[in-house]
Amino acid sequence: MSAAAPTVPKLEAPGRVTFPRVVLAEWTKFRSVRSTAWTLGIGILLTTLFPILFATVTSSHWGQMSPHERASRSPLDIALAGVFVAQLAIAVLGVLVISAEYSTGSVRSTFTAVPKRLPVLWAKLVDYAVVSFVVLVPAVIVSFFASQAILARHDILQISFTAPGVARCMIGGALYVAMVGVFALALGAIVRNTAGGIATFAGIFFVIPPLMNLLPTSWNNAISQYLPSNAGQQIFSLDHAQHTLTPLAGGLVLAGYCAAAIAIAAFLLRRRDV
Amino acid sequence: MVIFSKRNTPASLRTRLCLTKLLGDGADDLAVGLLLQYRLAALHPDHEGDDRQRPEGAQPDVDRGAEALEHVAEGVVAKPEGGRPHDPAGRVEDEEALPAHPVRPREERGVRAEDRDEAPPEHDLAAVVPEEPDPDPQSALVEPDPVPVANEELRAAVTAEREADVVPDDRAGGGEDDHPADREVVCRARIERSGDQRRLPGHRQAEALEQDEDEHDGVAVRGEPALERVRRDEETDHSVHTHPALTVRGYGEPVIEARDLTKDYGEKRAVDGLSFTVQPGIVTGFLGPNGSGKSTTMRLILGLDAPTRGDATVNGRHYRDHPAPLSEVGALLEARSVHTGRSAYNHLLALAQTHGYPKRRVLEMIDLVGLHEVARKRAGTFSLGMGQRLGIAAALLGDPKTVLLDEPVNGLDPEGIHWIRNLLKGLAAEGKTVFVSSHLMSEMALTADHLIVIGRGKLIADTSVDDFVASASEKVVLVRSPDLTRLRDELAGPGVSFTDGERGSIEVHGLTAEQVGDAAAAAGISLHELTPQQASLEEAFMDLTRDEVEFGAQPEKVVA
Repeated sequence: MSAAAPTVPKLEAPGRVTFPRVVLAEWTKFRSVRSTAWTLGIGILLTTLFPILFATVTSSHWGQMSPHERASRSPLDIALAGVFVAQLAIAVLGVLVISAEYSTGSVRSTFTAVPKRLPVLWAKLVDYAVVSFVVLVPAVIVSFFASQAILARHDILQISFTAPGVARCMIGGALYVAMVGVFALALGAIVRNTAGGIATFAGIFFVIPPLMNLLPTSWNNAISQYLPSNAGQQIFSLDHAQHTLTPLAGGLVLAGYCAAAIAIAAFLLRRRDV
Repeated sequence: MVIFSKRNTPASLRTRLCLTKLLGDGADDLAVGLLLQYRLAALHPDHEGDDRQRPEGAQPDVDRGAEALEHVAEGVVAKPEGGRPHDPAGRVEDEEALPAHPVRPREERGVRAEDRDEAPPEHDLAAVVPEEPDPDPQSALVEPDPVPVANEELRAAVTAEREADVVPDDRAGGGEDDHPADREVVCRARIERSGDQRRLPGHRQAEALEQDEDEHDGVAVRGEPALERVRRDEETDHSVHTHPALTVRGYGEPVIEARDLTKDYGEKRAVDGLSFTVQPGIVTGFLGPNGSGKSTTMRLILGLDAPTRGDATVNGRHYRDHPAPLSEVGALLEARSVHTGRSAYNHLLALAQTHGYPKRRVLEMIDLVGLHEVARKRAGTFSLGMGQRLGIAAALLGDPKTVLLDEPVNGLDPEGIHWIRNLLKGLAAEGKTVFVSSHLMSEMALTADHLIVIGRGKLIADTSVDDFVASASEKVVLVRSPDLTRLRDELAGPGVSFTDGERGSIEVHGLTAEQVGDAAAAAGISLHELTPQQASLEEAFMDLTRDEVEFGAQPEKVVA
């Protein structure tokens, strides 16, 4: 900005806002902040680290375990243990994708460029969901084979990737995390505040489910299976236990929660001042 | 501008001269502008006439040069960490401010010191009229800042002088301007310049002095239009250029239209039934005290906030309905609308991608605002001024037909402020619509052609800058006489009051120059000076908004 008289260079074409362009722009924004790499990195680390940890501990303590205890171990549970932890990191990223826009003020730039606003929300959802799913799938598969390798000495804990339901559980684990992240993103858009968004998410996914045990069992059995966390986790459950939904139904229930949260977010996004 | 409120009082003149010396080479066109102001004032007493009839766009630059200097002066006397006694009034009047200015002792000023009080102001100014830096944008991008490295010793001397002479500044409501780091930078820049000024060879000063005397006489005798003279002078002196984009200005169809715009935040009405239009081809200033609803109005225009009632359109459409909003309106809102963790480049790139602009465009903008060295750094590390430049780059990204800038000069150094002014004028000269808000009247006076003034969300004035000043001016006459005591007695009457000036002068309020002159003649009192005073823009603004100030103490009249 020298003291010289400035002349703004001409632009050949005025351009035009289109949805693919907004998706590209949101991708640029997504990849260009550190929090993305950090949360995704932590998510991948937790997804793979926990199965390795559990597999190692299980393997070393196998000799001291009672037959009953041994029977309750499931190789798939160990392989997907990281998903439960990683969902928090990925959900934090989901909240941040939109809440950071409000906390930094960049949302004003964003909505000045795309004043119709909703394309921004759709683009964020697309970019975020695709990235988190694409990143989680290999992480889950790696953790499966790593935990299987560690448990190689124990035949009872060996399961083939091609066994019925195993591949579905792997993809399902990644899908679950991506859907949870989408739900968190919508929460972030509703709450517009990082701490508030994360707290709300943690309340719904980590606080309410155990509280359900305080209800009469009949109520608990009836209600708990429809909670977003419990319903969604059926996507990567191999065995169908009592008072749980089928993988498909569970996935649809979680998708329903996501759709509802997104609808509220979209409604508020259009209406509210920024 | 709280410090200098009368345009042509000897005190403020003197202050300006001192400042010019202080600023030295760096004062460039400010000094030129000041010089021209007096030339033009001599030629065309009403030279601030209708914008539509301006033959050359250079004129607004010229006739507001003095305020430019005033504005700069605001920063010069302000250095927060000076540790000096706090001035509870928060403002300094001319007479008090003067000795505190960090200028050289009188005897050091050489030939000009002696005749300073008697000589016409042009003489002093001409001596320091510097060469204007090359305004060619291409070369500006590659060449380093034109301010040369100052002599270390002299710089240290000036620094010491400055530090001894700092006046604390405590302007009410100036919070946004009080970023200590930026102020520090500004001060430092000025010190460097004063160092440069000291190195101006004596013979060059003398030459400049002579030359200007000639010119001054020539103007007076031949009556050649001042602007033509300026042009001609510039042709012979390649170091001085006019803005290439300055052309004939004119009003057109309104581009921004606000109709009964109203916005409530809870119980509080931020904008109240605001209706106005903004024309292309001129700079329209949007002026109001802090909290008067300027930013809200801009957000309403951009659709960031939804109006409670009423409507705002740009080019006949709501902003959100434009297919390429960034090419329609370029907006600079609050200083920071950037993710602190994202680099300037990526911020601009993401904005460009929404419209399909090429990456090249982003680089062009980064070069334009001079951020190339920090483009890859996170925006959170930027100073206030750098953040402002980034916001300006974003605003200009789409080569917009309309520019909407909210307090664009906040946090910028003098060079940046100057850059912005030229930019805005250049954009207007290209026929674009320029709508720029400020709470500083002096800034608007330098830049704007038309003013929309609001207070507490309501429209107070929608007028040209010149009409605005004229309407708010009160009758004040500066009188210098050896027999002031008797003159006072002669003039005294209902509605007449006096303010002591300096060196045997008084300001007479409530009488015209004719009345004062006649009364003096009737009483046989000789007058050495009789100058009608124009109210400063700042005063006019404060008069108008006196009842509309949202925050802070009831403003006092700066100079009675």
